[in-house]
Amino acid sequence: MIKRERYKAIVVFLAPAVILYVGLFLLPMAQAFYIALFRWRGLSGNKTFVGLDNFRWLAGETEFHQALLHNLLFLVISFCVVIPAALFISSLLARKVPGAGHYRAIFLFPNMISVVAVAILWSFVYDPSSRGLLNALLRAVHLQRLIPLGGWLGDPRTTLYAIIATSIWYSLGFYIVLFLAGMQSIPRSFYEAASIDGASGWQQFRFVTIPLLWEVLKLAIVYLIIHTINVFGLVWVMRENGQYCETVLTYLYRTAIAQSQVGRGTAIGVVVFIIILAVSLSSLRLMKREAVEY
Amino acid sequence: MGRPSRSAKMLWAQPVLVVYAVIVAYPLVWTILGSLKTSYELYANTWGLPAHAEWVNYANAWGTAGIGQCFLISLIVTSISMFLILAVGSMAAYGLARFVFPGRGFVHSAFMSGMMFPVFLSIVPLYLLLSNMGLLRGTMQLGALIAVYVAYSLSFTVFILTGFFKSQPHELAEAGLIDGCSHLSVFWRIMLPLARPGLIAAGIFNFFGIWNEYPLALVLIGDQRFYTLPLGVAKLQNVMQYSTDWGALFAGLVIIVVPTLVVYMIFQRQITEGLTAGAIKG
Repeated sequence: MIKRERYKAIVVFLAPAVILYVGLFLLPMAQAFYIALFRWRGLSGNKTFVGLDNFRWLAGETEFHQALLHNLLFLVISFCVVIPAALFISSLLARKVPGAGHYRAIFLFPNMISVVAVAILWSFVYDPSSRGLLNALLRAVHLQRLIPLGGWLGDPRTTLYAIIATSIWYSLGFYIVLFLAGMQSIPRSFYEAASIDGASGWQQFRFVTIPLLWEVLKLAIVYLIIHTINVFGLVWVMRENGQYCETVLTYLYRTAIAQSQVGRGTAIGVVVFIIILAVSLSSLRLMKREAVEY
Repeated sequence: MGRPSRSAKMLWAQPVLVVYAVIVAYPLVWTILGSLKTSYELYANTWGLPAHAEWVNYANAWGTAGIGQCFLISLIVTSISMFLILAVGSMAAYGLARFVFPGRGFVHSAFMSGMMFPVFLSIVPLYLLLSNMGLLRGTMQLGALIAVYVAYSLSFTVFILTGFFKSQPHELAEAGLIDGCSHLSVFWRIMLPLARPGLIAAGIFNFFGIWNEYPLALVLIGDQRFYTLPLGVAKLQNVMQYSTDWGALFAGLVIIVVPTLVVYMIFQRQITEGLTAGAIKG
């Protein structure tokens, strides 16, 4: 009797979540792997099984390569800027400078804003006319010769980099907060011991902070990879104002939704899933350096 | 010995931090100032304060440009979704944390695995499923969007709340049962109030996730009358490229950002702690 009550309770507690989660999340995800094997245009019936043809088509598609390359550039540049800059700024904040809490609050805020709002705001910053903030700034310091003719988003040579800069403005605070929390969990006594041994500030950073922060750094790199593969809103909204610029997910959206090539678009989703899985697993393995226990 | 060098370091730390703070904050301040300028002023007076506060920009954005309607829709979608996510998610988390039953480990890892899938993988099957069911028409599409938001947020919410329920003493629930409460009323009256910090943490992150959500809404909401704020502001930007009411667009940006700013200011501590809770040991 009591046992039956218990099982009834378990079903009542779990059923709503399981039904919603399986029906609207797991099943569509699983279906994607199946749909990716069909040539299927639009919602109408014409569905032909083509095996791995969609993936073969992708492998030979220059637009897809271009999009992948853009994501790779996105990742490499973000990595080279975000990790050092976040380490630098968080190590300043960790020294308990006056106002550290306020700085942290300001730095994190862009991360809380709608990506669409960030994209539009930065389209104004890059605006080619005199209303653009960046151009006004460059004119004020007499550097207007740097301004590209079609504007920062309009010139194909600068579009991607302008979007990457926006993405860094948006996300840097997250990494600062992450590193700062890691640094604050390192016992102060380690730094005191190091400074008694005569270690300079840089040496303390290099031989105390970095090794003890290794786990957090690893995590930050995996986050960075996943965030850059998943970039969509910024590119989708900003490129409308400027030169056409494609990344993997905007390419997926255009193929699957705008051109209703359902099978091909879904195949791109499967590739993205495999990339995310492979990259996060291998980056965790590659960086498997002994974490320092303390 | 360490002291003078440390305070010397602080002297150059402050300017660096101030410069970065200006880079972060100025574009936002500039947007607020821009929302109070006339379109002509935006060209002629890019930097400065508006000569006269043009509140009419807000009226235009809210009324003529339809941002008020989007704001209400976003408010409804976000609050219903959050309520359902917390209700459904906390029940599931409690069921998983409190009871031992065959298949518990499997159900738990099925929920956890959700955090690995990119949203875009299921976007096509999801669209097909919902449109075949006829749910992407009229007001129904908002219902469909809410259901999808709940389903997509469950992994993360169950993950956070299971931890909270596991840390609660079992004896409390047992005592309630002995006193004759049903499992459901033990959960509702005793355990849920105790898990308040967990509900707040999950609620905050779901608020930002849903208020700002763009790609799912872009795919599922086809009818402009039901646009959420991110869709509405993106559309406004497209329209304003051809007309010239830039002040209204700036006002639209302020309208979408202000609620996030308010929530951020109220819950700043929980947000910074919550962001790093999984990452930092101890």
